[in-house]
Amino acid sequence: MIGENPNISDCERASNSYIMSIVAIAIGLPIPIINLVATFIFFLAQRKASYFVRWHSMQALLSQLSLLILNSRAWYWTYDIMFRGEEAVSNEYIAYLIAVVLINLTEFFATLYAASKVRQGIDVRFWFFSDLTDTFVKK
Amino acid sequence: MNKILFRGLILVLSIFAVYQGLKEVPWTKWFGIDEKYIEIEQEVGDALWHLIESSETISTDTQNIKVVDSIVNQIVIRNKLQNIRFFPHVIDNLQVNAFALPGGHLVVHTALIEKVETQEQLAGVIAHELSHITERHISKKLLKEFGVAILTGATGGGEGARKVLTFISSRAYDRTLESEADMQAIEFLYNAQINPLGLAQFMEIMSESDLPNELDWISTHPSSEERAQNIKNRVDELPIKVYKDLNI
Ligand SMILES: [Zn+2]
Repeated sequence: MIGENPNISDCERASNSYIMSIVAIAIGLPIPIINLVATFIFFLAQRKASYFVRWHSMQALLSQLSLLILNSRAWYWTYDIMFRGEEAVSNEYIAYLIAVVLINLTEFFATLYAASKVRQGIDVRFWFFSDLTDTFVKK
Repeated sequence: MNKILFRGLILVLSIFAVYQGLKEVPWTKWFGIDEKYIEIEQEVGDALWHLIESSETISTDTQNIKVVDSIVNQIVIRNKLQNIRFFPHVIDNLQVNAFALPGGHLVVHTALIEKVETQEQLAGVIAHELSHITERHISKKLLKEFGVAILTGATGGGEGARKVLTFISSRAYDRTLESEADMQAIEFLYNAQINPLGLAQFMEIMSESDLPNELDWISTHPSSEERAQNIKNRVDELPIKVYKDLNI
């Protein structure tokens, strides 16, 4: 718990930012920028909301941001191989793709879990991202 | 703040560790990607060779063919390269040139065979070109210049294939690939008990002559004397060996 007692509608709103993320991850793997745009729009919409809601939409946003970087690299690499012929399909490339898919999946289930818990008013803190969120979101 | 940095670092490191671990798995082998690439290279190489075959005169000089075949065989056997298929071809052409195509095709012009002073020099050139094949330089070069699209398109023959062919037969590889091939050639020759200094000698001959249309991979290269010197230095480092007298 963060301290404040969130009311029911707040829980739903906070949870929705994770739902937004889940949708974003599903679409965002093929089109990385979707991750960020979707969560960022939601984050903007929640700016005036309570601390609980703001905190959770920020945590969702930050964890999306890291996916954006990893997914973009995967796309850039694919582009290099397909169209520029800079390199062949290598072990490194396949390993990177698998790692990125695994990370996206992990993020997907973590976000799913967060959405359901936060909806019940229970706080979920992601490793590292929650600490980062603390420094960005002030009461 | 320190806690955040620490946790962030752990996160990055664990992602990196997962990636490093995944990299150890031979994915390209499992997915048959290596074979697929070799298959494509073979198709492209065969198509390019057919193009040469239809536009050039294949040499009928049995002695020349015998010399080239014999040198290739000696290098292949003594270096245990039997799992790679090589197709040496001799064509009647006045241009002093030799080049490798993808898929193991090695093309030697008769003018080059006449230009060399010893069979060791010819063996040096052949070993150098074989190195481009074994190190898969041609494919790397093609991929870089034309991308996957043109490479697969080239199998259809026509304009694309001709462009690729001109590119392969006339342009030098970059400096690192050339010296990589030189060093590999020395090893091939040394193992085959052929004096590797032949390659250095031939480069010196080529750098001294100002004939036009000379062997492009040597003459267009700004530092063929330097390459000759590097070859000599490398040979000096090798344990002394009695080379056989090539007399094919
Ligand atoms: Zn070369």
